Amino acid sequence: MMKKIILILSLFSIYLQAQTDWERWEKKSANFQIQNEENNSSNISQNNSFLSLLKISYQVLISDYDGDNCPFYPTCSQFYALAINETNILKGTLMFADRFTRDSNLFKSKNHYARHFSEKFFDPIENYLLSDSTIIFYSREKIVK
Amino acid sequence: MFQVNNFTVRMKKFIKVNSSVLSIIFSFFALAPLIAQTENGNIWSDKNRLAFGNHLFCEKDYLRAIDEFQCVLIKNWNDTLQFKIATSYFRMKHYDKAFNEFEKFTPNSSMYLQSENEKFRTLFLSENYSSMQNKIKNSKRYSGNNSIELLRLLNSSMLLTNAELPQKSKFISIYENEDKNILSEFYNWKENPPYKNPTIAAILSIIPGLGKIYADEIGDGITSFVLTGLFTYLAINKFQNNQQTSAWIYTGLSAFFYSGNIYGSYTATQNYNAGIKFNFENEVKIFVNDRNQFLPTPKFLCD
Repeated sequence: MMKKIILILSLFSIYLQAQTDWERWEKKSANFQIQNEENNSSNISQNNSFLSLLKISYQVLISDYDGDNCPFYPTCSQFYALAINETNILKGTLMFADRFTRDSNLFKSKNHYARHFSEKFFDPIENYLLSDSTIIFYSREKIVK
Repeated sequence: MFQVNNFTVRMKKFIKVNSSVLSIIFSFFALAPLIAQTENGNIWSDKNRLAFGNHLFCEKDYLRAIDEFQCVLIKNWNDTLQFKIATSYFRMKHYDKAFNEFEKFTPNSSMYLQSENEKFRTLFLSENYSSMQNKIKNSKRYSGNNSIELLRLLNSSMLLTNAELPQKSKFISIYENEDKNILSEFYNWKENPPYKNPTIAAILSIIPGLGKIYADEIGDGITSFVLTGLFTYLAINKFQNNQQTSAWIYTGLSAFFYSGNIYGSYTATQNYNAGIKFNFENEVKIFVNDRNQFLPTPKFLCD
């Protein structure tokens, strides 16, 4: 019985994900601005070769084929890399676990985030460092550049 | 044919007789445009620059108005012009420059009080509240206790800083009756802000998702509960079936989401509090700006 309930819940969550799959194909206005080299800032420290390998593997083997699906800016992988750079591997992993849960939100309730000008939800790591002084609240009407 | 010849003869006779009068009239019409062109002498004169500057100012072309005013001001310092230059910067929201221009007025100037008001207004709008509070407290009008406007602005700005508020009755008494209710609400909020406790959120997260729900993130809370519950169940199931490898993988995933949820509940509550504070400060700013910072506005500025 329990197995069936869990199976139904899993299928239900997949069904919700599939329903919003069309979003990435919708018409978007062209943006000719030269993008900043954000990836440079999120490079995991050279000493951490295992994590560098993990990140490069993810980017080459998964992200390049799967496409730009993360609804947040910075994306989840960039967030993880930035979090580790800013803090340490343990805290960075906790921050990533939290971000991953928010990204998988079953109800897609993300409208309380401000928008980045890339049309993604703006969710900077500074708001998750456990320090009140680094938190900057952006109202959801705001478009962050 | 006869009539035409007759007219020509008569005209020639007329010109011959009145030649001197006609030459005077002709000269007048010929010179009139020249006189008109130089009626005001030099077009770059101070008078013309001032008139053009005022026109630009009224047309809200503040940047070019400043240029014209400054050309005049170099030769003759004038309170009103200096005030207009400062106001131009203020209206372009160049608050730093506006403040520096208002700072040029000395206590001997006839517009010193107005410039002082505008300095406070500029500091408020540039969100430089602590500096504004210090300047108000150092002002002669404040120490003389004869400016209710300054007191109102000072008290309102205290809602936006960590400054200690005076007693409620004293705080509210200086405002108009119609404003007292809203100021009373602001005061109560500031004294007892409806913040939520991040530590409580972290403790509530012992049950996955409850901390997030406490922080008003209901969707995230339920997601967290489902993810943690799912992987915990799978881990237990695999252990019961003696499938050690997959059991440990699911245990790891379960721990990953469980610990992330505790951490996330804490930060979600911090962000919730930041949002509450932001909305409160926004309301105070809107209220004070609606009241024109409680300061009178000069009347000579084309409004």
